[in-house]
Amino acid sequence: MSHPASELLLSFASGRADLTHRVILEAHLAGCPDCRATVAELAAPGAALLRSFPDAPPPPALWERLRDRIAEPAGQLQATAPELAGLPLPPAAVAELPPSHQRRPLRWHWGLARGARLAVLSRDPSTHSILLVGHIPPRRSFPRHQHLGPEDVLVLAGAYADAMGHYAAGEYATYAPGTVHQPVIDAGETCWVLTRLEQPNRFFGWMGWVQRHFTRPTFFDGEEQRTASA
Amino acid sequence: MVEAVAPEPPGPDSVLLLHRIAGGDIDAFQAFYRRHAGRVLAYARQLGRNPDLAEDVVQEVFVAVWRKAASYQADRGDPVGWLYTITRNKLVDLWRKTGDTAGLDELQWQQLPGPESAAGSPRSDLLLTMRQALAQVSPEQRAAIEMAYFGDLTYEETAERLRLPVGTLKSRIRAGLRTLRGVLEER
Repeated sequence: MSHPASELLLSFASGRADLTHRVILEAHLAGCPDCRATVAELAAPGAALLRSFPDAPPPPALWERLRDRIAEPAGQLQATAPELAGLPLPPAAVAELPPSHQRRPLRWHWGLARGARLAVLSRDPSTHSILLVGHIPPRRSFPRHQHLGPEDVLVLAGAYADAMGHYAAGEYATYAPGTVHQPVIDAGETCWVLTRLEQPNRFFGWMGWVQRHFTRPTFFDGEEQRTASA
Repeated sequence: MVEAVAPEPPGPDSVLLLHRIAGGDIDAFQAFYRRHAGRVLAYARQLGRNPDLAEDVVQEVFVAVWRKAASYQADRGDPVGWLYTITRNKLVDLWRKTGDTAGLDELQWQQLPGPESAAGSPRSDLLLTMRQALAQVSPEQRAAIEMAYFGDLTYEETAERLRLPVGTLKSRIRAGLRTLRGVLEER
């Protein structure tokens, strides 16, 4: 079983993880009691720190504003949206996403592998990271590629293998910048993954040729940059 | 247990309140808010660097509590630890968004409230604060914890600042956190 690095869990528990890391980690924690126990241990000093502050009652107007916020029309504060309904995302990960009215609808991108599709689920402009949700049919091979930045992958359903290992549902894989791999989906079950990236991938073969010669927007420029700055 | 440092006040405990909040119980939400908002506000005022925004941070924190209560699991630990993580998320997100990251990389432990700040509060009987607890940790461990736990440095960045191998730093942080927890549990 592959888990997030201890440093990442420390960053998460101490409140430093960015939005995309929080979503993918919440998805992993939902099914991993070991990592939940680690996070509980790492968050304990934070609890003690918070308790060390004086308990000064906030002004009454603050509660009134808060009550008005949570009474906003149905759906305004809910993260759920029709396009997320078919995704195998744990509720804790969905709850970490911005409310539906602050997100753009999912836009699926096809063509990286036959029958495979990817969409940007979330982004954090402050750290230039994006979180993709991917759906790849059984036995399909994702094009061989190199990571220009770090990549985190959580398998939501199904399984895949590459030169580094075999990753089943719930497993968390981390790839360092420079890693080259070609994931192959197991037979028998469609694979759903969450993938967090800070830099675009460099593809090899015909996909690399397409990438080098066509300037259509990718996840990191054009449309997504405009979206990120919106 | 850390809970022994600041026992829950009378009434339903915070875990039970979170379960009720998950079901849309606004009375439970108000009880949870009354129990914790004061300290969240004090934290945001003291460590948020912009006291004018502290109330906005509290509002965002408790909106997140309302949205995320259903995903809280008891084995994630103390609800106050969960609340601390959310609070710091909101502050760090704000700092990153505004580019106000100066000082984010390191928390000076002297910034933490001392025992005098608890005087007159329901917790005035609590002699130990996090500041005192950190004072029990060795200076080397404290520096590592300040940077990598309360601050915003990666292990690699912290190791570079402290001129340590990353492996040694990790050991130092874990030992420091164990010591910190041990000191708190003794109370």
